[in-house]
Amino acid sequence: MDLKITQNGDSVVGTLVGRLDTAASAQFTRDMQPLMDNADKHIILDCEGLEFISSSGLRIFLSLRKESIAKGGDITIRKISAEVKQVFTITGFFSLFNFE
Amino acid sequence: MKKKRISRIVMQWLLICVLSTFTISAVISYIANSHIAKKNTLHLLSNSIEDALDELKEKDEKSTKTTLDNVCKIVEGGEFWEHINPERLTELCYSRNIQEIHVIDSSGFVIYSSNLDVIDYDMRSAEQSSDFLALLDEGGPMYYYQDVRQRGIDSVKFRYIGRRLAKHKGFLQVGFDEDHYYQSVVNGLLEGCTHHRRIGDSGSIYIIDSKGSIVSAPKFFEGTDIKQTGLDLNLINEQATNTLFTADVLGESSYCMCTKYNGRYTIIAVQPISEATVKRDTALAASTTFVFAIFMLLFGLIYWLMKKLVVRNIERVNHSLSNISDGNLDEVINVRNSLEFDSLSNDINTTVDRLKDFIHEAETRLDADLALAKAIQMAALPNVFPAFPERKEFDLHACTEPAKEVGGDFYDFYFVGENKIAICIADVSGKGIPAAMFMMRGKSTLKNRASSGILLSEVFDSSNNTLCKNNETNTFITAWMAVINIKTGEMQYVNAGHNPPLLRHADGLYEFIEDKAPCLPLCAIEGIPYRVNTMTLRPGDSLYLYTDGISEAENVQSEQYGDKRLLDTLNNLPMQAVLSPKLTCESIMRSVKDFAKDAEQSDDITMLAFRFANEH
Repeated sequence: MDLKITQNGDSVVGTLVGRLDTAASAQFTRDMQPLMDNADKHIILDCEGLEFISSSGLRIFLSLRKESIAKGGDITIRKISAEVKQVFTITGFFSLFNFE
Repeated sequence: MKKKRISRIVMQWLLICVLSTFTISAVISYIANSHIAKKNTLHLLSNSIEDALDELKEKDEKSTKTTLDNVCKIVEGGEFWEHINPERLTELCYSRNIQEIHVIDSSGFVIYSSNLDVIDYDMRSAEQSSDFLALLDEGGPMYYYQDVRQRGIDSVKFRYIGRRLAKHKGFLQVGFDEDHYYQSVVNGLLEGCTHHRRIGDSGSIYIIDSKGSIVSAPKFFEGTDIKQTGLDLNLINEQATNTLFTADVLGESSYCMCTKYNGRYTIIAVQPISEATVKRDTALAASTTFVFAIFMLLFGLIYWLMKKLVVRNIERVNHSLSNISDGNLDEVINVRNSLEFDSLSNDINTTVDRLKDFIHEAETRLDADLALAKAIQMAALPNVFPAFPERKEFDLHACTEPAKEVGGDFYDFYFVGENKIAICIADVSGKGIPAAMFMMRGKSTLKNRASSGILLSEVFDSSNNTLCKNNETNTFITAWMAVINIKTGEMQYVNAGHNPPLLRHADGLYEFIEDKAPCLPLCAIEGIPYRVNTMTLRPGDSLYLYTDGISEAENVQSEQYGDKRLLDTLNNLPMQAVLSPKLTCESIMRSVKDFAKDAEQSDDITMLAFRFANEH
């Protein structure tokens, strides 16, 4: 699981590549810290390369969302695959994020 | 900061040490050799001057003796001696290019002379002349020579030489006046005296008179002034005898030395510094090359030794340590070619052994704890089947298989009224102990609320709000819960973000209970409402609840079991298994395990099958 974080104007873009399963989630939580620190900004999560997400992965998304709400930022998820989108749908998480 | 390798650091310091030692030794060698070169030059120049002086002295004595012998022979010749008189002696003086001839008798009086004024002069009357009286002594010298001196009789500067008479008593004295002596006698001696003299390859000897005019020198310079060579007369006159000084001679910086000769003359020896130091330079070059070679050899040797004895060993130890860090605690370090590394190897091996012991102990303790935890967790789930043997209206079965000893999945079922049974399946995000602990909390919270008989929506709203408190880790629970009236078949259910269960009508196939807008998992967001759905089960209908441990089970090719395979497997179950929740669970569990084969189970697997009986 790789996360690349870049600044794009006022937005912070996180590009996710790989499988975000339980095993990868501990490292991913640490990698995410810059996004948590920038939760007051507009965060874009580019999920084109995200192959799989487990409940542990959703938990991290949820953490980011809570931080974003607390700090007054917002999150947009981009280019999500059908499989991953289904996980968001089944779990109701679809309603928590903006999708593009 | 970029870290350097030990070998590089040592190499750098070694190079600095070697180069500085080399430079210091080269400088010392240069200074010492310069000193030696100067000393050698001093000896060479003074020896050359001495040789020249010796030669001059020898020549002088020889010519002086010849003059005396010849004059004596003539004077004592029978005819001359018989008719000896001043005129004849004066004539002899002219022919011999001398100024005076005296004959002194045995009592020390001048009896004959070319100079009338000195006849009857008593040699004892002045110190200068009395010195010659030694020639009268019995056993005294045969010859006596004097340098230019003021003579006793009238203080005029003369040079006198004398010898005993051969046939008569007394002695003969020959005198040269000063100017005549220098111009004809000494110049004659000096002339050509330095032609054959060389100092080293290109050094020379010059003899100059008191005015700086060169009397004797290598070719081309005789008769010219010493200035032509670049030497300065004043500088020469300032120098003490036999001391080295430097001056430019013929355009070349040279070592010089000078000595006075015969009062009026100065002998100057010159050797170019470049020639004086050529030996030093050669010696220095040779020793420098030698020392450099030795140092380089040492440098290479030390570097090689260090690399072999230290760096390679450190690399070997590091390699083993990195194996150990990677988890291979059976790695043994065996670097034994020096005492220090032998001891280090032993220490590390001992440490690793103790670590292994500790890990083993900890594992044993943890295993025991986990086994206990598993037992507690399992005991918390209803696990006696058939669960309600007295109720003929339905049958149910459930099972769970955590990925680790304990898991975050759970199922549950209990009556919440006389004819209302609640069935539930849930999945806590994450796995292992943290999920298991949260699961216990979630399960009891749900059961507490549901058992109190409140509306299902309130069960979820209230449970969610309770569980959301103090949830720092953002753990959440997906749950699907239904309350079924076992008399009427009316079913109310809430899906809190869980995988949709499957429903099979008695005369049909399993289908997912699609939920267009499922609610969020419990514990995700505080204060949200949970929506209750309603449907009616018909006799013979079956429900199959499961967690994503089934749909996301993977084989070694990382393929997922998937919803479709689950659906197909369920729909291809033999009728016997369809009718029995227990067999349904067992069949699916077997199918999942057959699919995953050797792949490690990555998530907890939990399922619950419910069948609404045909007969009521």
